[in-house]
Amino acid sequence: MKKVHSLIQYCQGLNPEVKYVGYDEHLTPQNAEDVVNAYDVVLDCTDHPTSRYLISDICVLLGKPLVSASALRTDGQLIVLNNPPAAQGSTDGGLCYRCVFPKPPPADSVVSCGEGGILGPVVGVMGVLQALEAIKLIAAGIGRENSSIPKEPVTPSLLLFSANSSTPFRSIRMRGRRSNCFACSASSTLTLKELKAGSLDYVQFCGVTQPINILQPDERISATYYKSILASGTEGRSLLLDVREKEHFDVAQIPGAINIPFSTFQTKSRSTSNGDAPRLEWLPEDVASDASIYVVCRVGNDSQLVTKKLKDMGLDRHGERFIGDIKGGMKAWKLEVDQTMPFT
Amino acid sequence: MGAIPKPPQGQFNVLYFASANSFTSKEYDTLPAPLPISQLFDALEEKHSGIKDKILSSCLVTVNLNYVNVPNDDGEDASDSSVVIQAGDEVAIIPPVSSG
Repeated sequence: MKKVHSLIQYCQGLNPEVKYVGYDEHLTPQNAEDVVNAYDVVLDCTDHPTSRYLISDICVLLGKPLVSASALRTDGQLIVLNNPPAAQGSTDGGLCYRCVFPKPPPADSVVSCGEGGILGPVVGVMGVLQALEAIKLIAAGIGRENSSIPKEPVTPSLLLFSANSSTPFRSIRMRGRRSNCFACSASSTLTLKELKAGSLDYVQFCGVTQPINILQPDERISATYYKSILASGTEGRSLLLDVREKEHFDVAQIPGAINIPFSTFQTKSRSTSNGDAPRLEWLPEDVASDASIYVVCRVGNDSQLVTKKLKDMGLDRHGERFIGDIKGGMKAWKLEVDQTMPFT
Repeated sequence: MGAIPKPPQGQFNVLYFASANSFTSKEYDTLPAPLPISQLFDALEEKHSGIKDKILSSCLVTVNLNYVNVPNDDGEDASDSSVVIQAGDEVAIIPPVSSG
């Protein structure tokens, strides 16, 4: 069953009085106008920058207010955009998603809820607040001639929710439309025609992650082979670095692995300027200087970068010590060695 | 987590939200004031190598809960370039959360 049908079924259980219309296909620049035009208010509940920019753009072009909510791990953001809606270039209109975030985050830093994890109550909090903002817009008569929505934009605010913080809710005062906004400013060249013609490549704009391939075959070992190294115990003390983020490591890890999250690896492995051996805070002192170092990550990209970095720092002592990564990462470990291991 | 303490005399706090929090493994940092807003990203890059490209280039910045435009290298939108962060201010680094 498609997610959209599952959602409709669930919502009908909550309230059968409402008419639900399902769209079986992805929202695209080509179908966005036809899908969005039929409605007065849009709620963005999607999970990727590509869809967030597309939805914002189509709402600007069609003059629809947009209630945008997002959540990941323990954080959430909520903002009402394009409220009141106004023509591109009109300063009476509310800001759009591109005014808030003109540049998408680097593609390799975008984490989905599936990868990064999410707390149910965090999505719940954001979803309920989003529904409330939508109801407020509808009750004010959005889309009607004589609506009570002020013509002047009220100072828009971005609500931040941080479940772990001692101040869980913070409200940021935003401004009106950005004077050089790509979508809603006077200088914008965005049109429905351009959008439909496919001249905006949202995937390209948000960047694509390419699988990394910077190591030679003899610098990489398979998960199965690492398992045999562990089992034979012949190699004496070797080192296994797991460079996934801590929350992933904490869920499941290969026995004996040391966790150095990729994000902190750089700061914890600074080279020294005076030519001395680099100081590595994470390196246990009782490890022999010729003991092999294996690196593992989620799917085998970051592990290559770290392996290369370790060699660049001279840790392989000109080939005296083996440094290499486990090809395919924890995903391969699950596939080849331990099917019971949760993969996150 | 406990409340974030007031910054010491002559300093200001920088709060890290969402992925900025994961990147730095910190809730906040304390930096010496005054600091022109145009030098903020360099000061943070010095503390957290790589943060400029990974986080700051696409984040939203506020001073005392007010949005500010940080002048970037491309020279676009320098409307707030004269802003100077003062002692006791609260700066926030807010990257987009795009998951849903």
